[in-house]
Amino acid sequence: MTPIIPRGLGWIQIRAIAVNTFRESVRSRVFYILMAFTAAMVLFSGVMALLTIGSRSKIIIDLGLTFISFFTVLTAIFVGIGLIYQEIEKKTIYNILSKPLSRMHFLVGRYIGLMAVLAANLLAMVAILAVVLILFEGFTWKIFIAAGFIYLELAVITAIALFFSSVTSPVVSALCTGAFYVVGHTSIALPDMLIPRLNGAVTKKIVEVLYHLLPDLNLLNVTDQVAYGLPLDPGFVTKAVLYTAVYVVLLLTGACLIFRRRDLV
Amino acid sequence: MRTICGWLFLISIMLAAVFGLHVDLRSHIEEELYPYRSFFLPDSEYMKVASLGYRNFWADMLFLWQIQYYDYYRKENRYDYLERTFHVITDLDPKHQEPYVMGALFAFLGERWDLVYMMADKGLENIPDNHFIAYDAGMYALVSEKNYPRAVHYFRIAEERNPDDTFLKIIMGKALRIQGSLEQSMAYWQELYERVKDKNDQQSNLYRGSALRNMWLTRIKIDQRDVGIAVAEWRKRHEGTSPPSLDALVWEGLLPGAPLDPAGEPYLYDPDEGTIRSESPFDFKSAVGSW
Repeated sequence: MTPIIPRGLGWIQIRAIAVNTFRESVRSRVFYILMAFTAAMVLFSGVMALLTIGSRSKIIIDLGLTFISFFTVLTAIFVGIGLIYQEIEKKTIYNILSKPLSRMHFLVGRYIGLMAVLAANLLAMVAILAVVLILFEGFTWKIFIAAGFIYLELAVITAIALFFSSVTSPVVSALCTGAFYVVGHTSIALPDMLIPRLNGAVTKKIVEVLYHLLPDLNLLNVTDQVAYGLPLDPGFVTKAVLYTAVYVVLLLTGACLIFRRRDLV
Repeated sequence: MRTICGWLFLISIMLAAVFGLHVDLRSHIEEELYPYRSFFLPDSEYMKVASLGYRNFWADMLFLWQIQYYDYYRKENRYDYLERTFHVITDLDPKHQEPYVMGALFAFLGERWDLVYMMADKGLENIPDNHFIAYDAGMYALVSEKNYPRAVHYFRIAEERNPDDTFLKIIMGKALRIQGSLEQSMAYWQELYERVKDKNDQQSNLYRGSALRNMWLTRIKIDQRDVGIAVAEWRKRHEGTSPPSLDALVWEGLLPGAPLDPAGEPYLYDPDEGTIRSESPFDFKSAVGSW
């Protein structure tokens, strides 16, 4: 059996896979359709702001960042779920793995490649949002901080998508990743709404543990702080980055463990 | 050719059908369904979870919808769900000032004063450094409801949160004078005057003129009130008759001295009514100075 972490970190191999994934993903039609739709929605936030009374830039920031977050997450899911499965389906993975490269290199390279695509996508969208805000005289550099937090969320979602992609088919992967996305944004309700209604101390404890273990994506949403120009605690930012990193490493490790045992025939 | 004409005819009929149906459906929605749409709005707790973390987004969408919906004057029951809609928006995004201000405006249009002040109170609690909501609520109380104690209450909050706002001093001074707190009103005008007396820009000149004019009016009001109290006491002592002159009130010990108007001239006393008035003109030009 191949070790999870092969001798030598294999950066050259990971880089080669990542570059290849980047090229492959930017050729994807889904990527461009979602990108065009996001751009249209960000521009549309400027139109929506005309309907409001009072602070237009606040509405543009709220709507723009929400559209960017939602559609880049969709991009991460739809592009991420096919990354491993398609290689297996098309049997191109045999060709790749016949090279001096471990399955871990392949997975990590895929992940880094997709994150690079998403970074490019995110930057382009935030640039459009910045232009809209400049037009409405409401530009703030803090939208780039919010974009950084959206990127952290994308890192978690992409890792989840890759994890499921290495286990199951694209449809099931999409459903599971979507479910994790919903759970990640609704787990905040567990302590106040679900736990008090449960019977039994053990059940309550289990749900409480689950609440802390499930990805809490609301932690990575700072749109309101940006919209109101509120300061962000550097300690919070550091811990949020650490939280994301630990989650990503955990999911990629799980994916590597499953993928190295997977029968690809 | 005949086939093309047939297709064109068919398409024209379908387009006409779409047009007619749209007109009919639209009128049906506007007259029957539209007024009840907000009835289906879920409550705040549900919306917080269902928003999937995008609370601000949904609050903004509801706010934009609220502006369009409550602007629609044809709906007879448009105030029925205002409170619920307002609560959902402000629970989702408690720091956004405009929903409180717009909610209060819509409630004001329906003369729902309880809602106006409830919205203001919630806004002031959720945005502790906001002074505009207090000012806004104070203006409704002062100008529209004519509830002067309430107006003073909100202006005091606005002043505490924004003590450097000179315009607020003017509003506060006026509200206190209308409420009858004349000495407190006078203190505001004096404070305003002290703040701008040595400045010579256009705004300060205007404020100085306003302060002096209102100090003038408030001084007269204070004297009229004091004379009124003295006259009432005189009437108690003299079987309902009015005093013949202001000096009579002084001799009776009801006034420390015959009051003079702000120009230093004696007041004109009406013995039938027992009231005083000043005919000295206020010199606005010299009070305001150069523009």
